[in-house]
Amino acid sequence: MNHTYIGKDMPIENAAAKAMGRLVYCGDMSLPHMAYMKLVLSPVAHGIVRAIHTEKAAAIPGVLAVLTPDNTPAITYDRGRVLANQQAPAQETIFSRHVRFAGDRIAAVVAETPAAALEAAALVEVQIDPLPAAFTPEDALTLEQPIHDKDSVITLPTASCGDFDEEVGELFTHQTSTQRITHVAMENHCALADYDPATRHMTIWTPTQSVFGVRSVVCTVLGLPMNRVRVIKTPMGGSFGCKQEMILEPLVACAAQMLGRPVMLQFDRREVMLCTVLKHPLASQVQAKIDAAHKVKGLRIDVTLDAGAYQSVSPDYAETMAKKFSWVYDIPSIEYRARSVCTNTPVSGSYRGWGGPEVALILENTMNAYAKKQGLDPIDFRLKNILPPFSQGKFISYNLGSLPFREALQAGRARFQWDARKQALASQDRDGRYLKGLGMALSTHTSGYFPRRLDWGRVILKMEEDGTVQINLCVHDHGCGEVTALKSIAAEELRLSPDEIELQEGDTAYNALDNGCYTSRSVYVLGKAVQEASQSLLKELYRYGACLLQAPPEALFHGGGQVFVREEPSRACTYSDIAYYCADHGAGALMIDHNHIPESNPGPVAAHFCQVEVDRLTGQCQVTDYLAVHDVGQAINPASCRSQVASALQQGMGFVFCEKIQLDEKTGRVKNADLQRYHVVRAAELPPLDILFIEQPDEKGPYGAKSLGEACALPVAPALVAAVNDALDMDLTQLPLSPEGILKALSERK
Amino acid sequence: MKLRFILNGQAIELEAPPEKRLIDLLREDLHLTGAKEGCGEGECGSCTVLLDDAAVHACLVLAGQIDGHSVTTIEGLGKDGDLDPLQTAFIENMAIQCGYCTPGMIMAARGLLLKNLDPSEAEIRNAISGNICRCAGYTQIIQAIQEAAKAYRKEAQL
Ligand code: FES
Ligand code: FES
Repeated sequence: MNHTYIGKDMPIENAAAKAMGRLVYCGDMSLPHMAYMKLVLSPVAHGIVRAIHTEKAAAIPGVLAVLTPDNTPAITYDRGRVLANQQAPAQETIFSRHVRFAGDRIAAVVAETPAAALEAAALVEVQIDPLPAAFTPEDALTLEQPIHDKDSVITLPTASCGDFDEEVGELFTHQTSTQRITHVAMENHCALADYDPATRHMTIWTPTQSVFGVRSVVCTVLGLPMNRVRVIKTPMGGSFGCKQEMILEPLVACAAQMLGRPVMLQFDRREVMLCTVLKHPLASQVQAKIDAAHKVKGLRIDVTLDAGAYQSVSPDYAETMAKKFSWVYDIPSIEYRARSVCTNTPVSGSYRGWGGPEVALILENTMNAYAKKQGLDPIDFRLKNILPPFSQGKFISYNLGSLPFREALQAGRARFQWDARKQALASQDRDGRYLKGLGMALSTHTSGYFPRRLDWGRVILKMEEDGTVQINLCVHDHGCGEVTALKSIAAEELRLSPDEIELQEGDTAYNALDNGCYTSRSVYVLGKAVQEASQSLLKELYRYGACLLQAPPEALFHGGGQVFVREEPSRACTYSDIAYYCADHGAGALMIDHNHIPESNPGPVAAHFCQVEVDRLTGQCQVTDYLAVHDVGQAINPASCRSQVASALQQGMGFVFCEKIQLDEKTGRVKNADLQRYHVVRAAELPPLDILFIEQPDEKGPYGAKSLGEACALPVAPALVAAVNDALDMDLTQLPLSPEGILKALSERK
Repeated sequence: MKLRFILNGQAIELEAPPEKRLIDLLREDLHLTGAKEGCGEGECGSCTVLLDDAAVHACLVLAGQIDGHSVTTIEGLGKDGDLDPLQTAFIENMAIQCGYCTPGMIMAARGLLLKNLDPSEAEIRNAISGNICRCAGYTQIIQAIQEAAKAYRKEAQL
C-alpha cells in the first residue's frame, strides 16, 4: 500500500518548540501566587517518628506551611492504582510516622520561594526511634515485626499448566538475579496543583501516564468529588515507567487545598532516585526439563521480587510475569511461583516492559546457558522450540497473532552474519587480552491490555468549520511520539496534512475515562480508535458532501481537504464547505464519538543479536555490533521506532554493565543518589546499531501496526549477557556485569 | 550584588546574590526556562548554555561569574525569528524525542561549532558526552550536528 504519512519519517510533535526551548514542561510553569514544596525525608530506614519540631522551619521568612502527619489526611492509598475499585494493597499515606525506608516522607514545607522551602525543610527536626530493618527479602522474611501489619509478604497462588513432574527430560537448573536501577528520565518528577476555595475546584498539572489514575488517588485521599478535580497531562521529558505511579500529585493537591493557592513540587535527581520508584531487584530459580531432541518440556520458575517499602504494583507486576514465560516457546508444562516482599528500601515499581524484560532475562539466560552447555547453536535451539504462528500462550485465552519468531531468527541470522562471525570467533586466541563473544535473545510482548479490563479507546473527532480537525482522546505522550503517530493515522485516513490535525493530551475535564498510557497500548489501541473514528468522519463528509454536490456518496472521492465527484473532479467542495453546510442545514456539528474496544492483542516479536569484546585485564566490556530485528506489523513513524530501539539498547546496556543503586549495608541509605556515582551509558559507548523491521501487518492493528516501545527493551539484557558469557566461556547471571565482577569471576576461575 | 552582563545579545543589569546558580537565575529571575535541570551537578548537560563562546553547565556556574560576560541560552539562538541551523537540523534529522535534553544538546553543539566548524564524528561524540539523552541512541543527534555544521560552513563561505 502506498501511504502518504504512514511509514514515513515524521518529526516529533512540537519539535520546533522543543528545539527552541519553548515547550512548557511542568517545571517550567508558573502561576500567580505559586508556592513551592520541599519534602522532609527519613534518614532512617525503619522507625517510628517520636517527634517533629517545626518551629525553626516555620520561622524562616516566606514559609507558608509545614505539612506533617498531624495536619494531613491519614488515609491509606496505593500509588499504582488507576480506579478506586481496584484491589490494591493500600499501604501508603501522604506523610507517615512509621517510616519504612531512608527516603520515606515525614513532612514537607511550603514556601514562597524554592530557596526558602529548601532552607526550611532542612530545619524541620525529627526524632525517630529506630526499628530493626531489612534490606533484602531474605532478611525481611526473618523480621520479627513485619514492615506492614498486613501484606508485607505477598505470595501469589502458583500459576501452572501441564504437569512439570510428569515431563520427561534432563533437568537443567539456572539462576538469574538483578539489581535495583533507576529510569533516569531526563525530566525529574514535578507536579503542580491549584485549588480555589471559592469554587472548590482543584486543577493538577503533571507529566503523568494516567490523568484518571491521578484523579482517582487524589480524590480518595482528599475526599473531593471527581468532577471538581481536573488533571491535565503536561509534556513529558521521558518516563520509561517512572511516571506511571501517582507519587507527587496527592502531595501538591493536599498542600494546595490547605493553602488555597498553587503549589509546585519539583524533585531533584536525588529525590527521584530516593522517593519515586525503582526497578525491582529480583532473584529467580529455574528448573527446566529438556528432552533428548532438545525440546523444552517443562519449566518451573520461582521468583522473588523486592517490592521495597510499599507493595503497590509489585504483586501485580509479579503476577503478569507468569504468562510471559509461556508465549515464546512451546512448553507443555509450566509452574510459576512468585512472591513480592517488602523491605526497608526505596519503593520498587513500574519500569519499561512491566515484567517483560525480567521474564526475557530469566528465560533467555536459561535458554542460552543450556545451549552453551550442550554445544548447541542458540538460534537452532530456539528454532526447535518456538511457538508456531497464531498460537496462544498458556495462562491466556487469546491468539498472539502472526508471531514471526522463525522469520525474525532467520532474518537476524543472515543479516548479522551470525554463522560467519561464529566461525571467525571459534579460532580467536583464547589467551589473549581481548575476548569476543556473540549473544542473542528472543522475546515477545503485548500490544495492549486485552483481555484485561480497562482497555478501550474513546475518541471524539471534530471537524472545525475551516476543515481542520481536533482529536479528543486521552493520550499521554511519553515523549516518544504517540501524538505524532496518532495524527499521522488521522491524516492518512482523512488525506489532510498532520498539521491540520490537533490533538491535546490527557485532560480529565474533557476526555472520557481511560486507564492511561501503559503497556505499549497507545498505537495499537488508541491508534485504532483514531483510525476508525476518522473513517466514520469521512462517511459523514461523504454523506453531506453528497448533498452539497448533488451526487451519490458512492460516486465521491476525497483528497487535499476536499470531496470530489470521482468521474468529474471539478465538481468538488472543501471539508470546510461541508462543515458550514452542516451548520446551516440543521445537521449540526461534524463530530464523531467513537469507542473502540479491542478484541486482540498480538505479540510483537523481537530478536536481538550482538557481539561484545571483553577486556580480561580491566573487566570492561565493549559492545561492538548490534542488530535488533523487530516485528512491528507496520512502522507508523520509522524514525520514532528507531529511536525507541536505540533508547532500549542504551538503557539495556546500562542495566547489564553499569547501572546500580547501591545501598549502605548498615543504614540502608542509597549511596549513589546522583548521576556522578550512578553511571548511565554515554554517547561514546554506544555501538553501531542496525535495525531491521519485519512488517507483516496485523489484521486488527491500525495499518497493521503492533507495539514496539517496550518490546524492544526485552531482549537487550539477555543478548548482552549471552555475548559476555560466550566471550569468557562462563555463565555469569548476576547483574550488573561490572568490571569488578568480571575480574573477580576470572580470578576465581583460575 | 549588581550584575551587568549580555543575555542573548542584550545588555542587562540585575540584582542577585553572587552565589546564586546561573540555572536558577535564568529560570526563576529571567523566566528563561529552556535550560533544564536534570542533575544539578554537571553530569547531564540539560542545563547547557554558552558563557561567552564556551558551552558551560548553568547548574555549576554562579551568578558572580557571569558579571561582565555574555550568556547565550537556547532562547537566544536563531536570528530574526528564523531557527538556527542547529535547531532546523535537529528537527529535520528526527534528533528530538521528548525534547528535554534538546536545548542543552543544541547549546553543547553550538559551543563545539563555535570552536570547530568541521568536527569529526569523534569530536562530536566527545562534545556531547556530557549530555545525556535517554530517548534515543545519539545517532540522529550526531547526524543533526554534522548537517548543521555543513550549513554553518556554507553560511561562512557566503
Ligand atoms: S543540570 Fe546541569 S549538568 Fe545536569
Ligand atoms: S529526547 Fe528525551 S532525553 Fe533526549
